[in-house]
Amino acid sequence: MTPPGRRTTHGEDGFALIEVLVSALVLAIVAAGVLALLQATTRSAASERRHSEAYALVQEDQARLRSLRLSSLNRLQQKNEFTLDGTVFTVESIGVFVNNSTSEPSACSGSTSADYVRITSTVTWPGSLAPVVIQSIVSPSSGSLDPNHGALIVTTKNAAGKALSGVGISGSGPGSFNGTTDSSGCANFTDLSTGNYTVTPTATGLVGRDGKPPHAETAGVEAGVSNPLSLEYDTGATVSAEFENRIGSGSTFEPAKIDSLFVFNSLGAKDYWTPTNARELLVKATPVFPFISPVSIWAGSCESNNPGAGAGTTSVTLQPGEELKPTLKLKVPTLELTVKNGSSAVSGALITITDENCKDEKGTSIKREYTSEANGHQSNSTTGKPEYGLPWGTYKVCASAFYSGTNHRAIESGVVVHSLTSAASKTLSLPSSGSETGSTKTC
Amino acid sequence: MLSRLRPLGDERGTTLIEMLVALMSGMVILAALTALILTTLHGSARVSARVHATQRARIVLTRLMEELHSSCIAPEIAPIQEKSTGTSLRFIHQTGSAVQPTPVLSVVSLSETTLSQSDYQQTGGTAPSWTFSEEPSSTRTLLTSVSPTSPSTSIFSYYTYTNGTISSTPQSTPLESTAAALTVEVRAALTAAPESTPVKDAGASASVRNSATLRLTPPSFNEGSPSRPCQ
Repeated sequence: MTPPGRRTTHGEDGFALIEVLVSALVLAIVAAGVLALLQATTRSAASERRHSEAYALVQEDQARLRSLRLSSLNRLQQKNEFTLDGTVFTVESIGVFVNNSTSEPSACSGSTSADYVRITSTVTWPGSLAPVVIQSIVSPSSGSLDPNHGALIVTTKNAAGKALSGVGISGSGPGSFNGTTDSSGCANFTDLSTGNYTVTPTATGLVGRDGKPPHAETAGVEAGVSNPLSLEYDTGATVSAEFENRIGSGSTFEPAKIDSLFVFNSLGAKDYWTPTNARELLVKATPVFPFISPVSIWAGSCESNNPGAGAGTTSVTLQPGEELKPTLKLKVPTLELTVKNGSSAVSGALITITDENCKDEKGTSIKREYTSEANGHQSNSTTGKPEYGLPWGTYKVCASAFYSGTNHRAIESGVVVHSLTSAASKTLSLPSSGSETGSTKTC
Repeated sequence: MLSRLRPLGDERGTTLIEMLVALMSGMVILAALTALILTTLHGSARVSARVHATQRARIVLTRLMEELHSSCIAPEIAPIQEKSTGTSLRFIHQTGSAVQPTPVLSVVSLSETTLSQSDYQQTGGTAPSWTFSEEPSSTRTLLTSVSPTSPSTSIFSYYTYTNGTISSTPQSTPLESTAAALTVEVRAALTAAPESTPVKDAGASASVRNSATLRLTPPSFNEGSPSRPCQ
């Protein structure tokens, strides 16, 4: 070990010691390597032992599952824990009806059937690299399902008709069930007692054809029949619109303040309102279901006030999650109201314009309130600008003012506001003698 | 090591120190190696002891499960007998090619740390009310150095069906005759220590468990119909 040819005697002992130390170090490193190897061998032996124990457990669980009633096996999801030699093994048992031809969980259309139950037992334990899994099938023998029970097959799709997975489905009624739609967008609930069920879907951030988040639906289950329930959800789109109405009979337009926007498709429609139902220059409709066919959008709140083709409506195709740009420009018809007392305009009268066709969600009439300004036109205050623009519709207009100690009121029904070419104008002449007493303006 | 050094007057002391150091380090390395080998030997002894224990326990458990799986020798009988306890399993079984097998009553019981099986021959009667001899025809030791998997658990536990699934709580023991008639699953869990103890190590014992379901078909969908063994 001492380098050859070294002649210096002084300091040589120190050098030799270092050499010894270095060789000891090398040996220590080698020993550490050997030790690590030994440890790895021991560990793998231990892991082998756990594996063998897990395999025994998984076989035991399969035998147990085979002795269960078929209706208990379907949609079975169970976790059991067993302790063996200080190791906690978790046994997960899953049972699901599968289809014969595809080996996929029984799904959607009536043509595929639930042929047998696939039972899967999975054993995991702390530190397990891969779980031990055994999968097998149980074929239902005749009479193993109640002939008085039926099935419900829930299908979820998006606007494009593609499968929508991961929608939670829970049902209650004569029985209860719980599940999630799979990658084919299906959730199959077999062996249910007959009757009507309330099916509640859970899908955050999605919207249905009716423009509302997923909500409970009713589905019937009949004996010996698989009843389908198809649900359609997608990410809502956003549409904003600004409005303008013609001034008088001229060719100039001015921005109009509108409170509601109607989005119509033959498959579903919804009215969208400003946050406090106030009249605003810009109305935002969100979330709108992104129908695959174009939607018609106009100012208004129900289908019967459809302005028909023209500048008052626009047709767009929306993409899921899209925020439509630029802001839509929609024309609205004009109604010029003038409140008069004899020949002089009345300021400060309460004007209400009630939609004769549309009702809100609660079924009450939609009523818009104004105050007449200095020239007797409808406005948001006695000093504000007239607000002639109105959503399309047929209205009942009413003016009421209090003066000379009594309340004066004039009402006109069936005022059609449905033209872009000429403004509808209406003069509400308050009667010379007050009809009611009291200072409250009534309309 | 120092062969190339020249004989110099002051070199001797150095050589001695070197020698001592070399000896010392050699001894340290030797000691470490010895410890390593001892540990390895110890470990491998433990592993083989545990393998041995596992094999012993598994063979006995497998045999027991096979006997339990051969216990439905006539339709709708109750193979598990009353007075079965957490340490004593009483059941009837038979294997063979006979159309009507002659049942054997077996009692597998644990006394101290020895698991043994006694067989009683049939003396008369027809299914399900057979009579068995009072004296065992044979008694053999199945396994020695046996204990429950934990001090609070029993070796045998008995389960019934409730609402189509096997109940998760065992029946209370000793089994009454009504409880025995409903027992559809028997679970066995035991810990076996190695036969000889070359290494005094509690870790060398092995735990095994298994269960046998005494049903020919899964129970009916009908909640009201009884779910008895051997149906």
